[in-house]
Amino acid sequence: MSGISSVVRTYGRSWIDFWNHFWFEKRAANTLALMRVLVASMLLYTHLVWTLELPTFFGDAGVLPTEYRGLFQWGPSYSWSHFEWFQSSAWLWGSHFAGLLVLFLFMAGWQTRITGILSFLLVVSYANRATGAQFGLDQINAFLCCYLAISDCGRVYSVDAWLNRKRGRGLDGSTVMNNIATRLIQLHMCVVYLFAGLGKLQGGYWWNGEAIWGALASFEYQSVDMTWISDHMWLVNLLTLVAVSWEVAYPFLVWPRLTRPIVLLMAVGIHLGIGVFMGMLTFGLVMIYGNLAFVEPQVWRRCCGSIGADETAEITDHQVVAAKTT
Amino acid sequence: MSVRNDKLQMLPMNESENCRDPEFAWGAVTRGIVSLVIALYLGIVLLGPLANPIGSADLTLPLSRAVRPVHQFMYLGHGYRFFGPDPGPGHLLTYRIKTNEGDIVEGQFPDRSQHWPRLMYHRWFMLSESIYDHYAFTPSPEMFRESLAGVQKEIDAARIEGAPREIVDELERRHWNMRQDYDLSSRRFDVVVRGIAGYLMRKYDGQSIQLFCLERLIPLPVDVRSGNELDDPRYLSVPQQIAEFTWSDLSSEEIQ
Repeated sequence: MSGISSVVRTYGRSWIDFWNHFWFEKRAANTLALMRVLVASMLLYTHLVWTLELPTFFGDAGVLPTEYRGLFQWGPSYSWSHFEWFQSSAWLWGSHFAGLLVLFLFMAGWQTRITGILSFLLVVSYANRATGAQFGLDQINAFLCCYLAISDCGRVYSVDAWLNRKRGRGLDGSTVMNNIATRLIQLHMCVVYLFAGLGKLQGGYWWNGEAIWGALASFEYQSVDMTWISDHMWLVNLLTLVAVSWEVAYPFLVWPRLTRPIVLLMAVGIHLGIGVFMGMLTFGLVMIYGNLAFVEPQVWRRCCGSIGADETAEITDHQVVAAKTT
Repeated sequence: MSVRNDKLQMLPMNESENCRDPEFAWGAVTRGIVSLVIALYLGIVLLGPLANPIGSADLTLPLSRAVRPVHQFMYLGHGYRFFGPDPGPGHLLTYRIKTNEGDIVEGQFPDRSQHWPRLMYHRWFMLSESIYDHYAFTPSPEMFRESLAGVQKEIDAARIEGAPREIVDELERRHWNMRQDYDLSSRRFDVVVRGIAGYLMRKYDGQSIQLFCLERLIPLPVDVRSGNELDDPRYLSVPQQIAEFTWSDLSSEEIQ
């Protein structure tokens, strides 16, 4: 009996060790800081585009009545939007431009914690108010912004880091919160791909290999004429099967070092394809930005050098040693 | 030492490097509390796609309802079924407005010639898709009354036959849910269609408006090989009128 309990204890202990290392070691900010710049640029663009039709989608006299989004379930709605706090054109435009400024500051990394949280609230508020006109882009924007906001992504490549260096206050770029935020992004991306893939397995066109044709031959989505591919249906079949297999396999193959680069390169190819050929470049790019969470901070350290970084603080000692030895 | 190294090689990311530092920055109690929060949060994230667009009646749907405040506050709870289960036909919304000057204005969304940049085009496209969904999944009042009467008949028959109370309760629950769902979906459709109609009437100084839904089918590869274009009118369905309003049909608050 004692033998069995010992095995169970050892097994349990190894799970606890795994959990602690997975979530609670320190991680450098480089990857998240780069993601902050890219994701916040996307947020800025996404919300800047709303400027063209702001009263149409967000105004009281627009196409989307405020009560609409509360009619998707019985009972109280907890969906909220700051656009409904005051009903005036001044508030609509004033809060919009103030919001754009916040997104810009988050991208630049000024008061990053505050502007990050405000950016997340803005993204949610806009998406809620525009219920009926949102799509996957808004969903990915929101969770990436949320995780970046709770991280210490402003420690490098940011105005905050530059100001700190100027004042002679070096901050440790490696923190536990960076690791937790990275893990949350990684796991959330796995959830997205897993369910996107499983959802496709319910459809006949993903099994008979014609789904990619359905996507490329949709006039409403088409942005580049790909109809020539109808002469090469074997290629359509291959692309369909590769795409759905990759999505289903993503949560399992993105973790091992051996398969991770292949999975990530496929992500870049597939999302750029969706972006260029189906006119959803914003969605394609933000998915690629999400995938960056799987790239080690040391890689950016090598690529970007010390741009906007505290030389002494970006990478913990053990990460530098590891980078040198690999 | 070798056991530890073996274990570390199985860790997914850069754990093997970081394990050389045995110290954690956070104490055990903090790690324990944060671990609970993380586990709870991940459960909440997972409940989104497990309950949307379809979920289990006795597990994921009630749990999803319980965490709805978090889902809605944080904009979580999505199904993430992008292009699933199958890429389907596109849907357009067209309108025909008679203006106060007696002119006729016709248009549609999405419209590549008007909606720019592509992201804005996509917003209009998503709106037309949402309206089509509401229209397609809201039965006509006649159809609804018919299906409701069918369930009512089942309830009456179960009572006459002396069926167990549980069966009668279940049928009554279904009857009640059908009425609630119909009420909600018809209100949702009505509200958004009135919103769009009001917006277009104001924009074009309209006297009356008709709204239509169209479906554009995806051509077969063989059709394209034989020279058909994707925007060939033969792939467009006959427009179905989904609403018609005059000024007086829309309330004064909506118009102003």
